[in-house]
Amino acid sequence: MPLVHPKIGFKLILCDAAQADPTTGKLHMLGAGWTVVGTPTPPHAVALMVQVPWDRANERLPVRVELLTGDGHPVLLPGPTAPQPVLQEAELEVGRPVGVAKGSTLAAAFALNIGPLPLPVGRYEWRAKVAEDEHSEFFQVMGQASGLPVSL
Amino acid sequence: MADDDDFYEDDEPIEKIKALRARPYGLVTAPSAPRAVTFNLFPMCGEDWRSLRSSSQGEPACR
Repeated sequence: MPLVHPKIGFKLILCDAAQADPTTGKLHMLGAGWTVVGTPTPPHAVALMVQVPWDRANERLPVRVELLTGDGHPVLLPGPTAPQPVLQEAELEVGRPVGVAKGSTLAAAFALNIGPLPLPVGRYEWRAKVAEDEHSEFFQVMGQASGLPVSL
Repeated sequence: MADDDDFYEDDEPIEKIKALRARPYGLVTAPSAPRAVTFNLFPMCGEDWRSLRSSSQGEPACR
């Protein structure tokens, strides 16, 4: 085990829908790149394109995706007994395929599809952490339902 | 520097040790966790978001 782990790289993309293909590591997306929505928010997705360095193959990489307010506090929605955060945790791990050159970057993917959210008007953040790397994507909730995510 | 053979147990077969040393770099490996996962978080029927965090993974909102 090296003393310094090569950094995990990933991109966080907001889109209308996403699916991660476990066979190929590909990420299938629809309607990517929006930044403004109405409320309640339409169904949308958080997609992570993960680039795993060769030396971190066969390592379980913890993934955590959480919805936060614009000032960094967890968004809490009503639950059966108490308010609950909007988050998802998982683990990703990639192997070394046959014939891949030594040192190659290996692809992994994560997709989280979310139903309509009754979010008050304001600015929000989807924050994702993969191993020690962290990225955020912000979006704005406008005052009226727009049906679909819109870009202004 | 200590002899490399000290790393191995005394009763370990020499064939096994030789095989370990001779293995090619960049073994083909199979992960124990998926390389790609998809989750779905949707509210259950009714007002409340039920089991938003875990049990709603992959389940439809309403049947």
